[in-house]
Amino acid sequence: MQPLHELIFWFIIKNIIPRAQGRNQADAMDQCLTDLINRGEQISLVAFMINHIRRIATTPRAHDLGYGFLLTKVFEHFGVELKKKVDAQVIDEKGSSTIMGCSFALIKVDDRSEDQGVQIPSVPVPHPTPSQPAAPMSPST
Amino acid sequence: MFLDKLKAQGWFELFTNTPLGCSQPNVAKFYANVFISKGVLTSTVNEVLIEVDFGALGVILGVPATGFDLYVPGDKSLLGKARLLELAQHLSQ
Repeated sequence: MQPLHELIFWFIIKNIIPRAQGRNQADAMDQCLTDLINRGEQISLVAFMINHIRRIATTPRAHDLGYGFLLTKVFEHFGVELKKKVDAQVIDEKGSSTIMGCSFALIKVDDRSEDQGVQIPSVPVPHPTPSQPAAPMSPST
Repeated sequence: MFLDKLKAQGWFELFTNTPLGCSQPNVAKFYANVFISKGVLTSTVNEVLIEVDFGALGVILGVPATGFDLYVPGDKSLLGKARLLELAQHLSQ
């Protein structure tokens, strides 16, 4: 699998055929869908969704309730009142703490403008600590 | 690159609409009451009846309701050996 295949595969097991927790092996169907998406051949999302909802609803084992996000759209269409709505999860987000973890320091706009008399946006600047070389990517590297 | 593939499927607007959110209690009620027969899905959530077939669901989600739909949960024999070989060739390139 190429990196793009891998990304498509993760998209499939999270969105097209949502898995029970802890399973992320690519079976024949996942590989087939990965290949179809990669080659730009149309997949009927609704057919997979309806068939998979049946599976989730009838399986004797515990299964994650998939398609929450897409069902919101269905609920809204039918005028169901939605309670306790949560936003989509953001994973792998890189924020200021990530930048600071790479030993950059954040300088606020106000501090700089006093020193230099110019308005610049808050930008990370390299700020190596004495014990560490500048900007190591992660502890493992 | 990946987003182009989503656009090709007609899924881009649907999957990039992240402010849509999700209501877990309602999803649970939906699954508790869901019933599917002959491609028509029926369920009740907060006393509202939901009834959709493939076409209607496609319209609601704004995605094409056509294309590859060979999927029976749990049936691994749908894809023949020739198809599996072809897949392996594509993915190993």
